[in-house]
Parts: sequence; C-alpha cells; structure tokens
Amino acid sequence: MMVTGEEENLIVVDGLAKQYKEFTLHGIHFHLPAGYIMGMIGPNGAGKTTTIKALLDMIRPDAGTISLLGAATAADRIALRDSLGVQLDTTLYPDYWRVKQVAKSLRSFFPQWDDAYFDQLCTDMEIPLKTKYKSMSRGTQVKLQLAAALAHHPRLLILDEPTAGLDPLARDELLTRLQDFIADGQHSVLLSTHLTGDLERIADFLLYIRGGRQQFFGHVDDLLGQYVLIKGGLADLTPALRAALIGLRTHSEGLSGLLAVDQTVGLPDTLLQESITLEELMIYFGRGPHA
Amino acid sequence: MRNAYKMMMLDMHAVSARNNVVYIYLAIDLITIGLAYSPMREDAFLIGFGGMIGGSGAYLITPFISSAQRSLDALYAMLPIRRRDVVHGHYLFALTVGLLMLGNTWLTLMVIHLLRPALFGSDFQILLSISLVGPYMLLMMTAVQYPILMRVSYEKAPYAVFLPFIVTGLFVGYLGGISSQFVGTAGFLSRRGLRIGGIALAVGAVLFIGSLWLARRLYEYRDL
Repeated sequence: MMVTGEEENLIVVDGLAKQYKEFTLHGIHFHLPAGYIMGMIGPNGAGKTTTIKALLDMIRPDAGTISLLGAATAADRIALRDSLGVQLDTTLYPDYWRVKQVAKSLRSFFPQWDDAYFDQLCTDMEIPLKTKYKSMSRGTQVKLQLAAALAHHPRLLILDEPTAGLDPLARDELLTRLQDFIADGQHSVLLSTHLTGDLERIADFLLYIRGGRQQFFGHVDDLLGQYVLIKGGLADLTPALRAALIGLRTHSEGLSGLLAVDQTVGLPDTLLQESITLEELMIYFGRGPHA
Repeated sequence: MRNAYKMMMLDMHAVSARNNVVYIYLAIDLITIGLAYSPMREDAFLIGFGGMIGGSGAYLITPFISSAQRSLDALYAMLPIRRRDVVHGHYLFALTVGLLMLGNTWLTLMVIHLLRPALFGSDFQILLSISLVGPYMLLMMTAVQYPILMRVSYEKAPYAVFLPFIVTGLFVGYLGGISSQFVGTAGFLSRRGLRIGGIALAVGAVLFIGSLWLARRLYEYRDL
C-alpha cells in the first residue's frame, strides 16, 4: 500500500486477538511507519484500549504478533520502553503527587529523562506546579501525562484519548506538537480518539475498530478517495444499489449512504455524489455494510 | 536489583507524605514514651508494640490501595522494567518496612530504658527479643498477602487481603506465645532461644522466598 519496503515500521501488528468473557478482539492488523501519525477510531468498547494494552504488554494476546520498534518479544519490547512515550486514558499517578513528584519518581527509570525539557513542557502546557494530581482538571492530568511521556525523548508515542478534556486551544497546540514530533521522519505517533476532526487534520493512517473487529486500515487520503457519499430519492434505490451502499440511511425525503468509487459507474444522474469526511466514513461504516 | 530498588522507592513515593511510615512511627513512639510515665508503666511498651505492628501492617498495603485507586499498575507497565522487577520492588518495600519497624521498636525500648531504667528491670532483654516477633509477623503477613494482591488487586478483593492478614496475625501470635513459654525467662538470646529463633527464621525465609516466587508467577500472567 502506502508503505514501501524501505520504510521502517515502528509498529507492526498482525492477527492480534484477545478474548474476554463479554468481549473479543478479532484479528487486528496494521503497521505504522516512521514519520507518520496513525489514528485509531471507534465507538466506546470497540477494542481501542485493548489494542493499546496489548502493544504495551499489559495483557497477553490469545493470538497474533506484535513488533514494537523492531522488538518482537515482550522482553525485548520492555527493554525498549525508554524509546516509548505513553499516555493512557486513566488517572495514572497517586492523588497527592505534584509535578515535581512526577519528575522525581520517573526520572530514575528513564536514562534519557530530560528535566529541563519536562519543565519547559509543563510551562508551555500551563500545568500548575503546586496543584495535586487529584485536584487537576481532566485536561491538565492528560497534559501532565503527555509532558512525562515526552520528557525522555521517545521515538514512538502511544496516546489514548489525548485530546479528551482539552479545550480547543490546548487541543490545537497538542496537534501542532505531534506534527512537530514526527517532522524529522524518524518518530511516529499512534493515537486513539473519538474526535475525527483532530484526525482529519493530522493523521496519515487510520485504523477503525468496531465491536472488536477491524473495519478498515489504510492511508486517510486513500480511504477518503475510495468512497463517495450518495444522496438521492427513494425511487433511485434499486436492489443492486441497496446491496452496494454502506450504512444506508433512508428517510421521507430520500436516501444516503457510502459507495465505493469503482461502483459508481452507471449510476443515474439523479443521484448526487459527494466527497466524504472522516466522520461520515466512521458513521456510515459504523452502521454496517447493508444497514 | 537496581530496578527493584527503584520500584521500592516508587512504592514509598506512592504513599502520601502525611502517611509516611517515619511519621507514623514517630507518633507511636511519642505516645509509648508518654504512656511509660503513666500508670501503665511497663505495659506501655506492649501497647506501643501493638500499635507499631498495626501501623506497619496497614502501611504494607498502602501501595496496593493507591494502585487500586489510581492505575499504578498501568504506570509500571510504561516503565522500562520487567514485571518481576515490580514484584521484587514490592517485597523489598515490605522488607524495608520490617527492618524500619525493628529499628524503631528497639530505639523506643532503649529510650524508655534510658529515661526510666527501673521500669523494665530484667525484662529489658526479653522485650528486646520479643521485638523480633513484630517484623517476623509483618513479613509473614506479606508472604500471604502479596501473592493475592499481585493476582487480584486490592480493588477486586479487599477481603481476600484482610482475612489472611488476620489469620496470619493470630497464627504468628500463637506461635510467639508458645515459643515464649518454651524459651522461658532466659529470653530468645539464650542458646535455646537462638535455636528456636533460628528454626523460625529458616521457616520464615522459606515461606517468604516461596511467596516471592509465587507472586512473580501470578503477576507475570495478570492482565493489567
């Protein structure tokens, strides 16, 4: 696809599966080359966090292989964690910790920990130094995690809902920071989010998971270019079109649905064909192929 | 071992400064010394000793309570350390607390003995040896509790943590009582006492190492 053999993949996941009592993650497969940002989207409970936990060896997959920064075994991946920056969608530090305590506790674990850079990040992100972690807003807690994730100069960032709780300005600053992070072509970012607008702005690759199943993976532009949004009257809805439309929605005034570009040949002129946004792609795919 | 030490320090940091074991001991010490001047007299030490065992036992599970409230296990998973280092760090934390407790108990005893030499009299040596039971009991509690905490976490099974805590306390207390009677007034530092103490130490060491091995296996396969 978009990745040539010469590009180095910082993440390669193949056939990842994990079964719980009430949820199963089925055969996830994707790769993330150096120098790119990949977005992982899907509704709540889709399997995004499970995928991230598998990448971090927090859970043991039932099937599949994971290569992180070239390390294919759990032991090798752990040895490379200094090159990995992580932010999780959970309250991560003890309640009473302040910024200083975070640095004090983490610096001994990361040989490349950079106190000056951490201080700079905290200043840039306007993280209050004297406030206890439990008293910080959700957005500030995320910022503190991000500062800690970046402070040891990782090569790969894995971020779970990093824009949650951030105001529009902070969100914009974060997205700019992530773009700067990958600018040298050696670093990459994997982030999961509900906010497709953020991904539309920065993501090169997209992984869409729903109900534990991978809906698609690919380059954002390729994916958006592969489908068009079809709108028209109900009279145009032939059985063949009904079968071909993805996420078909019918209402009193007509119909709408996604259609693969190669299936648009021969469509009547009465049907409108519009380019799609990431959000529309997610919504229509979310409804299933023949809703 | 270096990583285990870092983890032990992280456990120390995970406990609120206000709940720091040094402050807990200091408060108990002051109360104990104060009671030594009350009608309690020599019994003041036993009260303080009980307080130290209780305070230390509670302190031992605070990193796990903190971990349950805030996803510290997720934090550990981000660090460049193996899961076994996390387990070693927790056990090192328990050993450190045990040694701190022993040092503090002896220090309190000596301070009271210096301030009021007549209070303990010939019992001073016996009390010094009885003090060894405290950290022993603490480490036996650790040996039972920690594997459970490694597997199911405090959040999911608080009673699975407290029940062994109580049972181990009763069991070690019973053993301590039996041993004291068996050793007699000669104290644990007599030849007989040392022999019994040596056997207890060997049994304790085997249990502690066995527990560490079990905890490593349980934590290795746990989903975080």
